[in-house]
Amino acid sequence: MFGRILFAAVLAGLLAGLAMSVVQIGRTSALILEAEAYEVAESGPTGVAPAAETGPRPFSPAPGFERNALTVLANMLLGAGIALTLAGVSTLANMPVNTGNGLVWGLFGFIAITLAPAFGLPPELPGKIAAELGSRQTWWWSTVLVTATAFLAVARFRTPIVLVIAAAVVLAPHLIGAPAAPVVVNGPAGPPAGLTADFVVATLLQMLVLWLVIGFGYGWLLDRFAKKATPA
Amino acid sequence: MNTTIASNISLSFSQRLVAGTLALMLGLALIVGVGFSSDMAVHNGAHDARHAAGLPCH
Repeated sequence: MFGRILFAAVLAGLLAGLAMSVVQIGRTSALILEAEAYEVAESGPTGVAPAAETGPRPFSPAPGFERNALTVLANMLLGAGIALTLAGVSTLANMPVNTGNGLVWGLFGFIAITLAPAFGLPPELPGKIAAELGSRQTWWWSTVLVTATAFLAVARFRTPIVLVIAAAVVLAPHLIGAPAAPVVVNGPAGPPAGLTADFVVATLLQMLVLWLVIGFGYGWLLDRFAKKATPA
Repeated sequence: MNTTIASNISLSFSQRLVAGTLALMLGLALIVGVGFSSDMAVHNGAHDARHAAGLPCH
């Protein structure tokens, strides 16, 4: 029984990561490469330079196939991670995911875990000037946690008072505000706005694909396994 | 015995607790490992996936 939950989640997550990679390799990664070209032009070598450059250089994938293959692998592992988390939450909350409600789970997962933090911290191209990493990660995790909890509470209890509290909780991180990027007067300008806009749309689209495949795939697989285990 | 479509998992409370916690821990470990690890080799390998997922990366 445990096995079914874990297996369905991992399978749905890996497949979702693969599906999302179609958008990534076809579109998003090309925009990242384009942004890196600006980054190199502005500030020398690509990526973040580690503070101490004395030790051996850390692994970095070769451009082209190796880099894309690792991106697909990372997407699949991230998909499995998100699907397992969703499975864990749904199991603990005793709110089963199935074929009928899987897409709804996926959609609200997308809103809570992707869209809500993106409202304050839009997906960033390499080279984008942003606030200190730790503060952004703290805001990201807090926003994800409170938004997802609020959604679950509404789905579970469906009372006006819970709805009002949930709405306040969902708004709170945005009223407090995400860590703001420092104003750069005389430094690198970062990637052009048009490129950033294209990138944000591409990432949101690919994350929507990921979430919908996870939600529907996990629910459908659970139903299928249940049917096999107890033939009517 | 169950006729509702929502009953694709019928576990006792303690079974749900164990299975749910296990799935949650595994899932979060994967997300943190792929998306937030500060190890430079992991960072470089998962770089494009992190940016695409909108995770605060660097």
